[in-house]
Amino acid sequence: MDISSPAAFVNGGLLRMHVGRKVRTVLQVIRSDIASVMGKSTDGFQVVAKGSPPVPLTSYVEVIGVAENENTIRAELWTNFGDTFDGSNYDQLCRLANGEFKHLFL
Amino acid sequence: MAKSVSQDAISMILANPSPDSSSDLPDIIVQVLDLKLTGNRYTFNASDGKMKLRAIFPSNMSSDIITGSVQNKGLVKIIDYTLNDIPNKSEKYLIVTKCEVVSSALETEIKAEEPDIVLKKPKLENESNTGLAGIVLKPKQEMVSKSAAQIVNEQRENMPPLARMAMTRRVHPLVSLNPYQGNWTIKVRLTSKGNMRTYKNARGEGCVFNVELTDEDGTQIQATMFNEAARKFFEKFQLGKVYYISRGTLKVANKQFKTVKNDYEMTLNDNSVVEEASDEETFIPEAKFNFVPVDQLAPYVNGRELVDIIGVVQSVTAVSNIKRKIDNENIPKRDMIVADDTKKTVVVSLWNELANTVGQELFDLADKSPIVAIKSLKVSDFQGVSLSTLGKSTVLINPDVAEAKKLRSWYDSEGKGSSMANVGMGLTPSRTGARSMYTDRVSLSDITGNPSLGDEKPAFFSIKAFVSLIKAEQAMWYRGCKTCNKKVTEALGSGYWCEGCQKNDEECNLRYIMVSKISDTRGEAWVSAFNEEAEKIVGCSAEELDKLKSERGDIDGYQQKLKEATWVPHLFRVSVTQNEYNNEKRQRITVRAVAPINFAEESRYLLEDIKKMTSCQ
Repeated sequence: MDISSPAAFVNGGLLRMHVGRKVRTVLQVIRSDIASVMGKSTDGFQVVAKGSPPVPLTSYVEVIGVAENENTIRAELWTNFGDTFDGSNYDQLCRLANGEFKHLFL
Repeated sequence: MAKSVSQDAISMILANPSPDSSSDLPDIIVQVLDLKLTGNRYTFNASDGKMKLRAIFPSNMSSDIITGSVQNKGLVKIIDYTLNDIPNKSEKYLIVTKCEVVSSALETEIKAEEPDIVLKKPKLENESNTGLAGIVLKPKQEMVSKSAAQIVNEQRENMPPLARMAMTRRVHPLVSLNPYQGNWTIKVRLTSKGNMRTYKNARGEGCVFNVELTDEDGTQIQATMFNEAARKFFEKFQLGKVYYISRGTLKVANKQFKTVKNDYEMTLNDNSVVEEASDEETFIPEAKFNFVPVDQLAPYVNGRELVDIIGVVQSVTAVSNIKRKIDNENIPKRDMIVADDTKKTVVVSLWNELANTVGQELFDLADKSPIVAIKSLKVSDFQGVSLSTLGKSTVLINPDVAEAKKLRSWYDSEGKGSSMANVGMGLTPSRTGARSMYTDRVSLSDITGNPSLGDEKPAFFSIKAFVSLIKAEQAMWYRGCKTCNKKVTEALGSGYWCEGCQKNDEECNLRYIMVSKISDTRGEAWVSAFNEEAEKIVGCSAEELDKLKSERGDIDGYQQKLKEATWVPHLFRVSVTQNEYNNEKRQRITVRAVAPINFAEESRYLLEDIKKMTSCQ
């Protein structure tokens, strides 16, 4: 994986701003199979993470990878985040990291 | 063509309750009678000379009425209308949606046929007389001088009985009553009936109850009855019935206890007259609710305004008896927990009759989670927010209102399973628990930078900090009495002596008295912690640590334990005091509580902080 640039924190709505670039996000797993995971982003959008999810998969998972389009990520790194996760806090983080504090992150 | 009403216009309207615009109905012209303002619209009686129909003008016509285009006794052509039923009566009600003014006020009320002919007769006779005989000398008519009262009485006698009654009671509108005129009769409906209350004061004992009366114009007034009068009228007054009342007294209303909009309130005594109006049907006004969502109850706490709520009953207690301090009377009470779709719960206390009647019903229905709508609740600050019923409160179970249906579907789908918090939580200062870790949150530099803190009495703060150093070579614990925790001394012989309990004990407890350094993003400070708090910091009891200390082995368990406790973050509740030491004032920080970090909660706090900082810039 190309680690030369940091992955941008995104939620469903912000994914489209980084198409083609490295992103990271936490998804609530809705459906999973061998090659992909259908998840709900912290702002309620449906996002598909392609790749091989860990087995077993917890309710929340963080994926780091390249954004293919506004609702798909080609995930390279998967991390189980457990079954309890405060989505609203993460969502706020994404907004701040892409908004007024972007300079601190990218 | 002389302008007049359309013949049988009213019958035509009654026959066609909802005409569509294409229907070929002939012109409907009616005379407007008894035009008056009711609420914010004008009502009238539509007359075709034969029949009358209660009617109401649309609000966009109010200005025409005020300017005088539409006048009482004038004629209007009704172009579009709907006919509605009046609930509980066989009468109909005409809602005019579009009409045209045909004529301004006529001289009289149009009445078809009879009276005109009767009036004409004597005229004809006279005419014929003169026709025949030329000059007719009318016989001198006996003029009997009658007093006005006699004439009025004679007229009255010719009238049908009911009309006669109405005539002798000249009904005054409630709005015209005042304390200076005693000769009135009102015709009112009982729209609310309170409970009979007993009281004891310096003058003795008594009983009292009050009612709310509403007249035809919608004006309301409260009437109170004491003792004899209370007993006399309590059974007579029934909710929804109409009464003729006279000989009550009026006085200026006590604004503190006012429940209806009226400058005056009425008292009825033994001489007052209350008679049921038998020609009026009982109409219990539909309780008009103005629901407040449970999560918005806080602003009403301890206010005078009463609230209405609707929610799902989650639990109901059995009846308990509370003794009223004032008169030692036992009052029944029942509590229930009600939840609504704001995902908050609130405790509602049912008092007196409500505890026994509707309360029992709810108790039996509780496991079916019924919907309950309650009107006129008092909001108090017990446990943050709680609701209590009053004498005038009304409780409806599973009412047929839109909100009830909405709540039912919410509860059945998601409400049932969700965990809901009491709306009062967080409104009362809670002494313990992680919640208090957010009140008075400061950073260490705020404490160490302010030497005057805690100089009169201890100041309390919440801190989030890391344990940065626990000195291994300190006297980390003392020997404490098993009973009172005070320091014990070694007794002569064996065991330990407690000065406070004045007794010897073979055993004692090791209790922490630990000093450690804590650090946060802004500063650092030394703090003292006693047994319970230190246990949470170190992760084991003083006894266990002592055991580790005295073990010999490759791994120094004691040092290891202390190392593991270092650089662990905690939420601390601390007290700051001032000690004098060698004539110097020193700040002393003591740990009062330790709680683990709740990351979600902490993140929320930080996000709030960021918001505050960015908005201040």
